[in-house]
Amino acid sequence: MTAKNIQDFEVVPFYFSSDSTDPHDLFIKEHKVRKFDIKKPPGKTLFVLNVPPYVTVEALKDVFASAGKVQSVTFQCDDSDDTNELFGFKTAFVVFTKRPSLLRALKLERLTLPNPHNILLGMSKWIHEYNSTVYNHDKLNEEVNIYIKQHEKEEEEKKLAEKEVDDEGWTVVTKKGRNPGLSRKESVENKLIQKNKIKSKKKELKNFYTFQLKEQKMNNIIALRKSFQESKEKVNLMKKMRNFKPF
Amino acid sequence: MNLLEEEEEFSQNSSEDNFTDEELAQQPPKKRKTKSDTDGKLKKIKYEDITSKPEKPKNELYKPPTVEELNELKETQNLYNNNLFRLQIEELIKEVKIKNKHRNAFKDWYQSFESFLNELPEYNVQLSEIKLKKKKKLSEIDNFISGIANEALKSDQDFTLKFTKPEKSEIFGLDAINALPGPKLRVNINLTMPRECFNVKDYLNNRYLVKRYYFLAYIFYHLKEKKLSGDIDWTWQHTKLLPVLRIKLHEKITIKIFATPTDNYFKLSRFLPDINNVKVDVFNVGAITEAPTIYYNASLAHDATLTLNNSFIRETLTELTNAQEAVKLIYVWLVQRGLNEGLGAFTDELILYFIVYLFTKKKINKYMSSYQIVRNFWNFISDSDLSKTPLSLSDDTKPEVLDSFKENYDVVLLDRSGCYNVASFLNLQVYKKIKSECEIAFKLLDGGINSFHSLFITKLTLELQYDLILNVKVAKIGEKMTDDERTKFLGHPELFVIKYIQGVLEKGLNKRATLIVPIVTTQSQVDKITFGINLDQSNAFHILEKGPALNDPQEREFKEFWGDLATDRRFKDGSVCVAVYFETQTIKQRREIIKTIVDWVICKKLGLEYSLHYDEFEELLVNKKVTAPYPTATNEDGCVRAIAASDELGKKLRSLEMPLAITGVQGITDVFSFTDVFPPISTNYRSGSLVTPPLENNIVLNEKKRGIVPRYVKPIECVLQLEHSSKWPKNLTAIRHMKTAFYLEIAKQLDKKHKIVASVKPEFLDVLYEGYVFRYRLYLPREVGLLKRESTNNGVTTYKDTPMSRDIELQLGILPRVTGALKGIQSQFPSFGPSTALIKRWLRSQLIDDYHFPDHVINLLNASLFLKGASVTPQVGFLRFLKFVSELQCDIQAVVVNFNNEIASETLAEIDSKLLQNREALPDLFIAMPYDGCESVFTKRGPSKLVLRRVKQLASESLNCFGQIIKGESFGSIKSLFIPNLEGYDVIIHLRPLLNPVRHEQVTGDESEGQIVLEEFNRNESTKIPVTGFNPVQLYLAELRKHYGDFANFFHDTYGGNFIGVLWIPKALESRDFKVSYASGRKLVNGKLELNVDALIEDFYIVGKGLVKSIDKKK
Repeated sequence: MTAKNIQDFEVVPFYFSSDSTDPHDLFIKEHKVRKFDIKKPPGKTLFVLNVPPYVTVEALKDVFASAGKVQSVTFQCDDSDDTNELFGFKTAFVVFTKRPSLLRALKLERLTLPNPHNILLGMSKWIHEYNSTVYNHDKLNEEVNIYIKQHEKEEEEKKLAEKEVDDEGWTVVTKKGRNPGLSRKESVENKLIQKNKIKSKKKELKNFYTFQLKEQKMNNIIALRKSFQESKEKVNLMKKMRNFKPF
Repeated sequence: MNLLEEEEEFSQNSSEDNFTDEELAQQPPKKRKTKSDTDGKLKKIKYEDITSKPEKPKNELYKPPTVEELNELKETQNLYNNNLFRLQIEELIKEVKIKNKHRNAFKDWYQSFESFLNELPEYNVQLSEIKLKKKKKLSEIDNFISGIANEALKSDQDFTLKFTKPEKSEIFGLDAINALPGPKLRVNINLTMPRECFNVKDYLNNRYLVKRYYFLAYIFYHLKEKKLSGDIDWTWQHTKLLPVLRIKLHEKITIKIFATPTDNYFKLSRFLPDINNVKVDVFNVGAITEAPTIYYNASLAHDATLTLNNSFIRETLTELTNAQEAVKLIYVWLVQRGLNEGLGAFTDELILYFIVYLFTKKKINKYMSSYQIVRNFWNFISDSDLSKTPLSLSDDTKPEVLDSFKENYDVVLLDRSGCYNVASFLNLQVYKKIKSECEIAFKLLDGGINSFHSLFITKLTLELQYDLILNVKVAKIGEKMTDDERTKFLGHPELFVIKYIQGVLEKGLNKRATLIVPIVTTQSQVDKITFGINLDQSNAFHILEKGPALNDPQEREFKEFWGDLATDRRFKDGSVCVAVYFETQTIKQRREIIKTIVDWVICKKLGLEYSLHYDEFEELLVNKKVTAPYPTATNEDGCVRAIAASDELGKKLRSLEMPLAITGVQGITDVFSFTDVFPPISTNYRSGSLVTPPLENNIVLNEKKRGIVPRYVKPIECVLQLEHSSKWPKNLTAIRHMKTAFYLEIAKQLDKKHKIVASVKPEFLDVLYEGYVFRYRLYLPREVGLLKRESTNNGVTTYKDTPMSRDIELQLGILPRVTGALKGIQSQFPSFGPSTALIKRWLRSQLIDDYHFPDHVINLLNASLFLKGASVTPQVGFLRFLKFVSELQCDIQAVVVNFNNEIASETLAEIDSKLLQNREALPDLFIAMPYDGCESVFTKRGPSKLVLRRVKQLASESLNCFGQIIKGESFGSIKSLFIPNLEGYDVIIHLRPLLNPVRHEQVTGDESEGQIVLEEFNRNESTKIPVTGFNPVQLYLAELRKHYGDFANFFHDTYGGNFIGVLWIPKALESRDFKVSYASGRKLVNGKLELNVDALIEDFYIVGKGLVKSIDKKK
């Protein structure tokens, strides 16, 4: 197998197991960006493209262990969606403990999962997942209770910390109390605006001046015209779809 | 002003596909601001043009209106339903215009035909001399005689037949008054036989009809001689006694030639229905009596009055262009329903007579638009009943004459002369069918939204119109005639046969059927009659046919009719009656009562052979491999039981003493709306040590034994609603923990109070009750609020949809309401559920699963159909859905599911214009439904345009196939419509059948193999929640789609499919230059990136380890 490369990426075939025949091509290169990231230390980080979906962090560690000790592996999704779960082919950053390992990794000719049976796949994965949804009620109860208690405690602390008048003399307006403030919600604001509009409308005289009457009539005609236009467009569309052939 | 006029002009001749803008752009600029670069060409743009651009559309709209425009706008408002309808009518009329080239072709022909008539040779021949001659050499006259001889025709005397040219020839029919819709041109020509042809009393004993026949035969013979006709043959008008010549000049031009006696030759009163005009058995039927020969009379009357009536129609309608247009529309509407053809049909002339009647009675006038005329026509026919109150076009018809017509004919509409019933040959049931169709049409018109398509464009074949189609082979019915009847039906034995069978069927089906329409289209001998039967939803499936009381005079008759089926029964109110009881255990069997009755009537009573199309598709809803502990057939039986159990458990839940009371339990799965194809079956669950070991209070799966999985248990999902409380935490995680705590509390109390097993997962609560697994979730609107909550820059809180909040709201907020509404539809129209299930079964079997075409979308689409008009049987519901989908135009129309008419018509109009303006931004299929604020939330994810197109094709193909099966043209089986075609898939992944927990739901496969018999639920044995909702195939599919959805589409039959079809996405297969974002799943070949197909296929193996049996790669 001759090594291929494109744009500074090395292309390395990746085999799922020793007896698999059709490899994926992994594209690897040294990770170099100006921005410093503690999780991706320069000189030790390998940038890997096209990692198959089923490969886990541990598995990838194992794969690159042949080049040297791997400190950590992080995945990044193709499109930076905010969903937590990664799916599809992944991009990985493999951080080696030492730089020589990285250089060795770049020279590798093939990568193979050393022990593919460690990854839970297919039936065993699904069965495992199903079985792990079964909880012991008592344990679950305990967990929940602990959380709720803690939460309540936090809330109470928060409440205590909130004083009505702070040190500088500002009063916090809440919904409660003698002088409740309006809650700052969009819906509430919209309602207020609407209310004002109606108020001002009530004051307005609608058919007082002749021009208003004229305008009203015109508006009627315009509405009719508009609907006529719309219908015409629609019929044109239908005509294009040969909608009027009865037989 | 100018612009507006142009616009109007444009609206009149907009046959080209131009838009106004273009047309406007072509005009030279007359005013400064109105013209700009609308045609897209580069022009010098002045500053003014740019600034005036946004004003431009306004300018058009705000122009002062012209008088014409005002009139037109007003007219539309007053005379038409709406703009769209008006424009659509205009388009349709344009579409059915007959081409001038056909008209000219006919004109040329008619000219030569007229000169041909003038040159006709004349003969005198005795009737007795007309025989087939078998000499070798024949003289010209002999040749003619054997050319026209018809030995079946008889009269009582011998007379001289005068063959001479007709007195005059005249064109009549729809086209003569410009009311014929194209594209085919059909013209009727009436030839008047001159006075010298006749003798006194020719109306007697078939004499006239013999003369008429030979006169036409004479024309026939010479037309052929002169080679003036393209393709000429005999056909008949109304009845076989009135043969006419039919000439096919051209594929698109048909001419019919009639013959009538000279004006006023016969005294019309001879043809009144109480007179006998045949004294001698000239029709070879056997003994006849003095009874009136009504149908014979009607045939003669038709001829005698034809000229009079034609001129009357012409006088009335020539000027009325709108009425002509209306006749065109009505005709199109009739043809789409196939009601204008065959024996006893509603013929073209009848439309004209009705329109003329409405005109003379001032119900329509010349100021009305065609739309209003059609509307009045429908309204009039659906409201009037001509079988009870006969009508007359004549100005002076005596009431006793009307009465005598009414006595003798089923439907009476007298012509201009008052002596001929133009509806003589209209079958009563066809008339009723027309009435019901008119009613439907009238309702559709007023039903708002676009009804145009379903009124005029949709072709309704038999199987879409009738619930049951019955083909009867006719034999020996004629023997059942009495002598009087024989006289009455003289010359028309087929009318008697139809009436007789119809009568017996009516008696047998009684209130169960609303219409029993005979459909006879064959021209020759009537040996097969098709009946289209519509059932009455509320009575059709009654298990009891209650007869008269014992000792009632009618008792004997009833018993005679029903034979062994009749038994004496005592009823709850104390009465004792004869009755027929049909024993049924399942809902499917109740539907089969109809079949039992038809078999009894046709086979046992009449001794005829028959075939029927009624419930063939229902077989596909029956799971033959699984036997439930109670009787089941189609899906309804299972649903009823599951819902009952759910209600019981719901009651128990609500009575629990919880910190916050449970106020509502609402179902969200398809079981509740009866739309589940295979509803869960109540049974016993025991844990086995090998495959299904116990864990806590659940049965789980053995992680070591991965060769087989237990039968799929579908959870019945419900939503719990709690009474209102303001004390819920304001933090999402806290709310979720509280929810879990709630589930735990419910589980605890259920166990304590009712000894019901439950299992809590953080997300939901599973309960085993009566052999079903119920899955409950809490719906807290606050949770959704928290998910949506966002604050803007200036600290104002807003609520915005997030994918998560949308999901929860959809599942727990909207879905329960939709399910409730669907359940309402089901209780109103019992075939809604099973027909929806049938649709799902069909669609899934085409490998289009929930991912491509969600279940909810199917439910809603079918609901929209049922809300428009219910189908009585699941099969018709299914077929109508296929028709609906095959004609669905989701590009320009939203599907409206207006539950309880909750959407206002303004909202609908808004949606329409939204669709028109911004199609791309909305889902490919838009469903307007009241519960989601008309946002079509269910179709956001799918179906996509591609899937819709595919489904459309599949639907129209399936419909065609079934149509052929019905017509007997194809011998394919119904089942074959549910077997997918595997051609065309790139890769097929075969799965291990034993790991498919729903394998027994397959369409194909040996029925006897792998039978499962389920035990009855036993509380003491079932102590653990079974493995619920575990389907490796679905998990595999989900994983494939998640990981490889960018490269391929996956297709699978949800109901037991053991393979997955894979299609590579063409775009993904393109090879491209290297790019980091394009590297996924690809390999480097010659410096370019290509899809690594082989590695992906290996991935399919890897991801489905254990489940995948083999993968076929096709070339």
